[in-house]
Amino acid sequence: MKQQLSALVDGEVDIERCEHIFLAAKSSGEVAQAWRDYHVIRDVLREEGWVQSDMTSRIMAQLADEPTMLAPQAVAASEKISHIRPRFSKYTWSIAASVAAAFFVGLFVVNQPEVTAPAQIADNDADTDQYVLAHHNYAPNSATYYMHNVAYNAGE
Amino acid sequence: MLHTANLEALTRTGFVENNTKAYTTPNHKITQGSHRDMTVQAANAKQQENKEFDQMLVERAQQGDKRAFGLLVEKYHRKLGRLLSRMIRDQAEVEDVVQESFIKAYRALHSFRGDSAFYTWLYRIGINTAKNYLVSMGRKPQVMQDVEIEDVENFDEGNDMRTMETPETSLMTKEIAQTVNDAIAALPEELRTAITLRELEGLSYEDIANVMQCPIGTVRSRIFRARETIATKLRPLLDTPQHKRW
Repeated sequence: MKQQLSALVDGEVDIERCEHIFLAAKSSGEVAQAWRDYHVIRDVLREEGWVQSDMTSRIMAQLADEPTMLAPQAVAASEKISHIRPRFSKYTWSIAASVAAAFFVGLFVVNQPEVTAPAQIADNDADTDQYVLAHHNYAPNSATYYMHNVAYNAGE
Repeated sequence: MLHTANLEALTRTGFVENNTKAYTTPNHKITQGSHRDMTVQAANAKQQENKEFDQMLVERAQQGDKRAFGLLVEKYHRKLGRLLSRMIRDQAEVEDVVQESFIKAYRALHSFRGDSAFYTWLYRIGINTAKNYLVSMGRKPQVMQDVEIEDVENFDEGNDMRTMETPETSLMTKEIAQTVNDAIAALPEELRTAITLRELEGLSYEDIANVMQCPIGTVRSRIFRARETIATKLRPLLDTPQHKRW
C-alpha cells in the first residue's frame, strides 16, 4: 500500500485507484505517516517549505472545534458531467427553436411584395391634402412639417 | 541554498555532474534542452494528476470528512508557510497566519468549486490573511511587492519560490535538510538515481525508466525504497507524540 502511496504522491496512479489509497491513509496511521514523510522529503529537496513538526496537529486540533461541514450541493466531477449534459441539451433546443423562428420570419419579410412609398401617394391625393390642411391645427407641435408640406403643395 | 547543498552533496558522490546540466548513463545522455522539455512535460502531467487527487480530497472534506482536509493540510502547510514568510519575517507569526489560513479555507470550502487548483485557492486565502494580519498589527508589509495575487495565480509547485531564503529559517528545517542529504548520499546508486531524477529533476516514471533502462515497475519500486530509507532516518525528527497526532 505504501508503494502505491509513493506513486500517488508522484501523480503516477490512476485516479480510479486513489479512493482505495485514500481510505488506507485514513485508517492506517502508518500510511498517513508515510504521506507526511514523502511530502517532507519532497519539500526539503525542492526547497518548497520549512518544517514545523506540530503544525498539522495544531491545525487539526483547531478544526476539531469547527462544525463538521456538510455541503450536499458539492458533487463529484463525474456527476457534474451528467448534470451538464441535460442542461446543455435544453439550451440547445431553445437556441435551435429561436433560430428556426427567426429564419421563417425573415423569409416572410423578404417575400413581401414591394409597396409604393405612402408619401408619394399622399402628394398625389388632393383630398388628403385638403384634409390635412383643414385639420393641421389639431396636429401636435412636433408635426409642423405637415404644414410646410401642405402649404408647398397648395401653392403649386 | 539547501538545493545547492543537495546538488553539491550529490556531486561529491559522483552522481550529478555540472549541477544537473547533463546526466550520462552508459547508453543515454540527457542534454539540458531535451531534459528541460521532459521535465516540463512531466511536471505538467504531475500537476494535473495531483489536482485531481486534491479535488477528490476537497470533495470528501466538503462531505464532512475532516481527515481528508488533514491530508491537504499535511501536503501544503509547509509550502504556504514558505510563501507567507516572504511577507512576514517572524516565524511564529507566520505559523499563526498559516493556521488561520487553513481554518478560513475550511470554513469557505463549501464555496470551492474546483475552477482553479486547490493550492492556488489556498495560497490566495493565505496572502489575504497575511495582509489583513499585518494591517491589524499596524504594520506595513515588508515585501508586499514580492508577493501578490498574480504570483499565486502563476504559482505552481517547484517554481522560483524555492529560491527564497529567510533569515529565520528554522534550525529544525536545516537539521532535516541535512538528514535528507546524508540519507540520499548513503543510498545505493540505483535508488539515489531514481529518487533524484524524480524529486530534483521532476521526470515522470516513464522518462526515468528510459534513462535507467528498466521497467516502470522497477522505477516505482526504487523510488519507494529510497523514500522509505530516507523516511526511516527522518522519523525521529518528525514524529510527534501519539496523543498529538490528528
